[in-house]
Amino acid sequence: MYRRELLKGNTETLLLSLLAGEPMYGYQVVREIEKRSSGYFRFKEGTLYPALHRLEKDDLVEGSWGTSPTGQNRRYYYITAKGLKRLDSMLKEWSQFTQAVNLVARSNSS
Amino acid sequence: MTRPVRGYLSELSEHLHLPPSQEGEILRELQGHLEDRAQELADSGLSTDAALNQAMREMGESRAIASGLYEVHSRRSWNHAGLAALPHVLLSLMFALHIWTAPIWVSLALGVALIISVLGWRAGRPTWTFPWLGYCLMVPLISWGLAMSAVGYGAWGIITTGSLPLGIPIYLGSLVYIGLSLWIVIRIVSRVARKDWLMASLTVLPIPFLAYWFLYFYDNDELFTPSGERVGQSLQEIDSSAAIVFLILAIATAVFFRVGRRTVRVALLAITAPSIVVLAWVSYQGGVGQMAVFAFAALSLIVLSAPALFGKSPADIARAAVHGMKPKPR
Repeated sequence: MYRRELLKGNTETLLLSLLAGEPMYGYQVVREIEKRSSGYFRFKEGTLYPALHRLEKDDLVEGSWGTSPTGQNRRYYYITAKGLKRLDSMLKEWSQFTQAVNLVARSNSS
Repeated sequence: MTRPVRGYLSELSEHLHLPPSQEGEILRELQGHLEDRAQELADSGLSTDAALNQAMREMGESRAIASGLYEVHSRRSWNHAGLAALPHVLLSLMFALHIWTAPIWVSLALGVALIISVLGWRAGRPTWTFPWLGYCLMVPLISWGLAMSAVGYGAWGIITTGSLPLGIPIYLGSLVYIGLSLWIVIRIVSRVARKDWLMASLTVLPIPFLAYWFLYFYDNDELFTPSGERVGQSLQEIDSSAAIVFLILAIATAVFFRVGRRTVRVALLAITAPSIVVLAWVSYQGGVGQMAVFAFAALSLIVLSAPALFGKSPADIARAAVHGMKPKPR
């Protein structure tokens, strides 16, 4: 449950981080997140597309149809300059957050 | 596309309520996802049917996905909400400044509404133009009401005196006009409802109050000569109440476009329409009785939900999904 809440609160960061590396289509995103997190994050597929479309509506990513490696028509998502800027600030915020949590947790355990 | 996938996507489409081309693209995207997942499962040893069923199970409930996508795509900017609320604000100002009786202001307001509606219709019907369209529809509806009363007057004359009080051409003309105006209004509302019946409901939102307001003046024999001095309530007081009602409509319209959730939108309209009828009844002294206002409030809900009968044709969606777009090189 806690993991689900963490995923919900960090969906944007995860998606933008992936797409900053290379453009991907929806199914590819689900597989990559699961692979890179060693199975820790399992994206509920039905929630992925509203999240991607929300990013597109906010101009953080841009979608367009392309051809997948298997020759199928798929909608690829590309991160925009605005998306990169947002990702940068979110990663900074995340880094400060985890640092603060670790400091509090460490001081309690010691 | 297999039948189970078609069924799944069809159910999803029923709850998307987005323009056909936009829906078509979304359905193609989701279909691709299901195909990819089903292929992966089939490669791991599952039968085709089992793979498809599991892929659809993993995707989740179609209604929930549709609801999420609708929320994303239907929520509008403040500019959009402001433009949609503007006709109600203008009408509120006309009542607040007591200029609604001046033909020049009424003509100007109607002219602006007509221009915006026509241009909007031709430019693909952006949703903020629908409230403007609603006011354009008031003209045929109000004159329809007058034509109906002429026909009713004639029928009453036949029953009581055995003769028509006005000439036959007037009654024939009224009947033709009633049919024609009704056909035009239904045609326009059904075109809007095809996109999203909730938008059609928003378009006709002022009708219950305007019908009540019309009935109030008609009942008090003051439709064409509203007097400045009246027994009981002054025209200024009535106008102030109307100004507040249109301001409420403006706020409701703006909120409608700013919230994405469909259930909230439905609730907003369902509460607003009967509430402003009741508010008008409370504000206007000497109006219709208690039972009549409850009937009016109930009628307002019927008027708002009627566009649901003109919902979108599945053929529109299927057509958009089949044609789709070719991949563009990047």
